[in-house]
Amino acid sequence: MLNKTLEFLRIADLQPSDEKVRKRSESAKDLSDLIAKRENRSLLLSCVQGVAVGFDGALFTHDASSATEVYKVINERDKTLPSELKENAVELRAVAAIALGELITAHTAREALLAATALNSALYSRPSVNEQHLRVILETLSAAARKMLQASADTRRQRNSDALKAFEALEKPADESDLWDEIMPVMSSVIKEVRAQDEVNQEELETLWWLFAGYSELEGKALTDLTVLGAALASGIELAQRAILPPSASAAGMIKRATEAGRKPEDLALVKLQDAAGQWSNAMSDSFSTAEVPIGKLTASYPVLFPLVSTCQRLSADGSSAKIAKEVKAQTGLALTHQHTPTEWATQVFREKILQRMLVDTKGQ
Amino acid sequence: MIVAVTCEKADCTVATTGTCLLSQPNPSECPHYRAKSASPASQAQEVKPQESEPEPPPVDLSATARRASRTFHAGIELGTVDAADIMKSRYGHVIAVLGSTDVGKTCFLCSLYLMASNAMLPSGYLFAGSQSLQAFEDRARGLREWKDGKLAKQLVDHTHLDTRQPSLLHLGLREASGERRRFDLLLTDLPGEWTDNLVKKASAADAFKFLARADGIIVVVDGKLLMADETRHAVQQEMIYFVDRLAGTVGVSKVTPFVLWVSKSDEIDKLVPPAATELAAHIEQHGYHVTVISAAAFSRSPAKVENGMGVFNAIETILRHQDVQGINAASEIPATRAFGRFRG
Repeated sequence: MLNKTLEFLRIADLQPSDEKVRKRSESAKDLSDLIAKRENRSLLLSCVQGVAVGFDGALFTHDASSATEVYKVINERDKTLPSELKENAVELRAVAAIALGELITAHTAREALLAATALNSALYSRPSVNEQHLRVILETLSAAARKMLQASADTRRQRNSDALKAFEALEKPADESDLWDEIMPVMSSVIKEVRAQDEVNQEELETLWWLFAGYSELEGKALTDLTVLGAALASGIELAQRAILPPSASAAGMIKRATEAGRKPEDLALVKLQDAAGQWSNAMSDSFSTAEVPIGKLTASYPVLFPLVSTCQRLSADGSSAKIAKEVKAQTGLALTHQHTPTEWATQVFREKILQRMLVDTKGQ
Repeated sequence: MIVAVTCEKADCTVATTGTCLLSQPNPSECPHYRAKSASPASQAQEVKPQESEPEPPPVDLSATARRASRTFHAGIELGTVDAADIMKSRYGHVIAVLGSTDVGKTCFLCSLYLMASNAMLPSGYLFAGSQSLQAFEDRARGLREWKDGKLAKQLVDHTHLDTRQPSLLHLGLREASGERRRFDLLLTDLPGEWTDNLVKKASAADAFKFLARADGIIVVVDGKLLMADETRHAVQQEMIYFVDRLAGTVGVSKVTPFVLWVSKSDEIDKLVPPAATELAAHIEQHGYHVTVISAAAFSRSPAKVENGMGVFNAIETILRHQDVQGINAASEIPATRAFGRFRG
């Protein structure tokens, strides 16, 4: 996405010079290479937050370390950019957006997949921004992330029989003493292939049976016996737990089916974030608690990537008041009055759970 | 060691004239002002040796940084480089005000300024500062006129005090309630000749390259001329050519909203001339979203038509425009398995 440097940079400069475009493109490439490394994962996730809500948000004015990292990368090639966050926030956002876009479109590493998943979680529930050129950037990144996840999910589920074909093509060696060396690597590949295939089949079976049964194992009740918000939470969490990473695009349809089946149209009306989060607070925390990555740590560092869980935790701890509402908005970028349908909230739950799994899971692409 | 001075601003001549581009009374207080070591050859010409001066006392760096960030603006119109100083810190809404000579572009800007300065903005919006107050004031008083034969062919990087140049005017607005969002408007101040030139020759399109970053385009047309039998056909045809050039030669993005601002409505009983409606339909045919606004920047009969009618509506129409087409509708990759194709 380096070819979009001029287009993205225009949010910070009406007519950037050729030299500036070149320098920012190089800086974006440097940043992209940096965040493609596993050890810089926190910078990658912070960049996603910065692109989603801006580096001038409350999140970054309290802790400017990641913004400083982005600034340093630019500063290495161009010393004229002001160092104060209040003077360079939009330009940092533009460069971080180019770098993320480059990571998603030009890399196939696991961090690229993580970046796409994090963007998916950070942008889904957010209201569209009013600023036209910024909106185009976010839409472009969102589309790139969706495309990457879809392609990657499909590749993961594709049936493959290369190893089996190689096995079938084996001919009896003249000297039988080498048979073991020849046959074992192929046999090993065949077994791996069968196991991978079984994993894919298992996902389909588990998911389809869960959907067919319409029964929440978390709640121990049929989905139709739960409130619509209860069914939304259960379907978001339980389908995310059964998905192979990255999930298939069909997950959205399954969430819709699980949340909306047997409901009256009035049950599916818009729900405010404070009402959804207020109802979910405790169940949500339980559903996201894992030993590997405590969700409290994730929401403290990345509230923009986990806006729903962050809000649930905050309301659970401090209750709902005007002060808390203001703080939640500053941290997550979402107002408590922000509205979605139960299915859309369920999809947001699903995306946040997938991102959490992606951060602990070592499988996948 | 002898110290020479320099400035980071490309067009600043402080090193030779001692005059700061940003009109700082003391240039050394300008955040872009820098001292640099002079070359041995140039040392002979220096008039102010620094060797005998005592070492400056250690300073509080945080205080220095605070002073450096305190920038004073000259208040005149902004060039593109000056505007970038605003845009890299906050999102700037670039609004192009286009139209032929004497149709009311400057009146639009002056009316907006006078509403803001007299606390007469529509309820819901507050004035939130401007870095070109003097520029607005000069236009309101008729002190800043275009000079014949000296027009720049592009938006200038930096503006000067002596002549009016194609540039930008800054106006900050804030929502009075709710999220209290801030909007930094960067409104173009362009000569009508640019529009006339683009109608005549495609090569004039270079001047409009900045429209790639525009958040909205206000096309100002003279309502009186569009209503009169003698002039309407010629004016309408000229603006049709102009819109064709914007869409074809300049290549304005289809997501950029247009406002067709019909000026001098106070003289045509607030009617929207049929020719304006036809022009709007032509803009729509190019795939743009367009809003027609009947307007009177300064009314000749304020009792019937209030001053500033339609001025802020044009701004609000652009700020509220949310129509991005085509990106979310990116084609899906068909999944290979039925499981992956399920959509509920």
